[in-house]
Amino acid sequence: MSIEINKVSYTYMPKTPFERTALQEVSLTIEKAEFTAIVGHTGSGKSTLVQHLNGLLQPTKGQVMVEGIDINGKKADARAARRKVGMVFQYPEHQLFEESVFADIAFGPRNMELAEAEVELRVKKAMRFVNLDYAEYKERSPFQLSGGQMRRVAIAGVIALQPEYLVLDEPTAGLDPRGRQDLLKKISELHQQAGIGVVLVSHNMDDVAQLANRIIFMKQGEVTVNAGPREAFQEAEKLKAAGLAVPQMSALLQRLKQQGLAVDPGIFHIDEGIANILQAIKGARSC
Amino acid sequence: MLDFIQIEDMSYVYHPERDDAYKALDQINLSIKKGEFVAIIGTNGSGKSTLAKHLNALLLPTAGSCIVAGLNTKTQDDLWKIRQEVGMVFQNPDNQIIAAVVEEDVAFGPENIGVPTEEIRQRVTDALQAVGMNKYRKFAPHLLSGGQKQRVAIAGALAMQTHCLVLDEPTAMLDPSGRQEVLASVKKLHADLGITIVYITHFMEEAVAADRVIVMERGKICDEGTPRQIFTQVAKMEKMGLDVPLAAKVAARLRSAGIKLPEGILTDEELAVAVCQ
Repeated sequence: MSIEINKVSYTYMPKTPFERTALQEVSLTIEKAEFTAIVGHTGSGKSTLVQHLNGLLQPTKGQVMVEGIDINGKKADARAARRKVGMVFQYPEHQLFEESVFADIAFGPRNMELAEAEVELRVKKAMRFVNLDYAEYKERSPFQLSGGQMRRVAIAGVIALQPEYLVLDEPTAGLDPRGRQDLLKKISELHQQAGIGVVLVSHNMDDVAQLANRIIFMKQGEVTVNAGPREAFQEAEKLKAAGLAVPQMSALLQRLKQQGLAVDPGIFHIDEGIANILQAIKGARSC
Repeated sequence: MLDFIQIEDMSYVYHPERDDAYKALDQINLSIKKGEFVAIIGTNGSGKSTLAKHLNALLLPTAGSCIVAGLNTKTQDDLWKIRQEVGMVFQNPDNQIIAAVVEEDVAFGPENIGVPTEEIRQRVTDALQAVGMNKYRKFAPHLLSGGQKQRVAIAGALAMQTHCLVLDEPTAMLDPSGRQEVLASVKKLHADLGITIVYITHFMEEAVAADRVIVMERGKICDEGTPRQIFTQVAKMEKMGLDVPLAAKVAARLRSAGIKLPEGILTDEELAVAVCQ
């Protein structure tokens, strides 16, 4: 169960003076069982890459296979394979358009020509999932909600399609700290409880450090690191080259270690880091 | 002397005639001195952006008053003077740039108010230099990174010889290096040119750069102080749904686990020194 990206290259506006290669022979496997984070500088090609995962962009060269099926193929099963991948873009609330929250979330399922009872069930489930009370919000205009609520409506619209993979491009940009935490917790639940394969595009290393179990760095259209978080964050030089910061916890532990405290700077998770510091302090109160 | 910005008992209600009228600001009192660097933090919907839009008369108070550089924002005839005093930079770098070449974009404001050509040229050069973007003056804006676009937007305000910049989450859409570029430019304008800065952000590590932090909740100012006073109240900030810098958070957790640490720890450096004493 995976998405296979096979030597995919993508060129914007080929054969014009504006021709630009955004992806260069990218190969990677996204396992359904993993929480994958794709990180990189603005312009590194990460958004171009994820738009290939459900056929919004078609590779100039190479292939994208969802569970063994080429999604850009001609056969009917290619369409079904594309539908397995749900996509939440940056600022998804800008794409709301219906008169009520219900109609907006129901738009996708209705397009799939599901029975109205099934549509309603899916909308209810999706709203429960994003913590929007069905009775209270279903008739409200999505345009009179707060920014955080609008974003949750937009995400519910994708959840209602019941994708097997969910791709989110910077889902927390502009949310306040609690809104960010709540949303990330929900995404993490989707992965752990519903078994949905998650791909998170982000430049927030601290979010990525708390959640992902595979991290992919991109730079100038190529994958430079593809590893588990512990290994990936040790490549501090490559992180810097990719225009990214090391997680704050790693930076703090590094500073404490310089001061002579026996801590492990390989830790990036906040709670683990605090436990590690406590242990080190109790071990040697004089350093 | 009057403060540069003086807000008295100011309230703002969105669509007051309708059933779902919403009071976004509730009797705000706030003074900002000339040359001060103020950060405003608070959850989504706490009224930060509504407050910011009053500072150059994009919104007018429903009640109370907002005085900028001695001018009441309600006086229609002073509108353009006020907008010249206070420049705004918003979240999305792609919505603020209008011209096809960087220098033309920066020149747009001064051209509109009939500044002589020679002077425009000088102002554009000065403004682009102040944000470190002069070498990109002939570039097309769409070839710039997000951080560079935001710096061009700031230069556009500087070319109007603005005395105050209001930045509403200018880094929300940027990657870490873009965020650093923008914050460094803002700090430099404040330090070198004495420009008054009002900086709205969800990134607490950016708010730490300010002289004073204002905390908003449900349309009111619920706390204000130096970054150290604000961010060392870890439990209070977390209860409001806001972050604190990691070192302050770790220090609080270590204290509650029984480790004796001095109060007021805010940076990694301070924590490292305190832990090892």
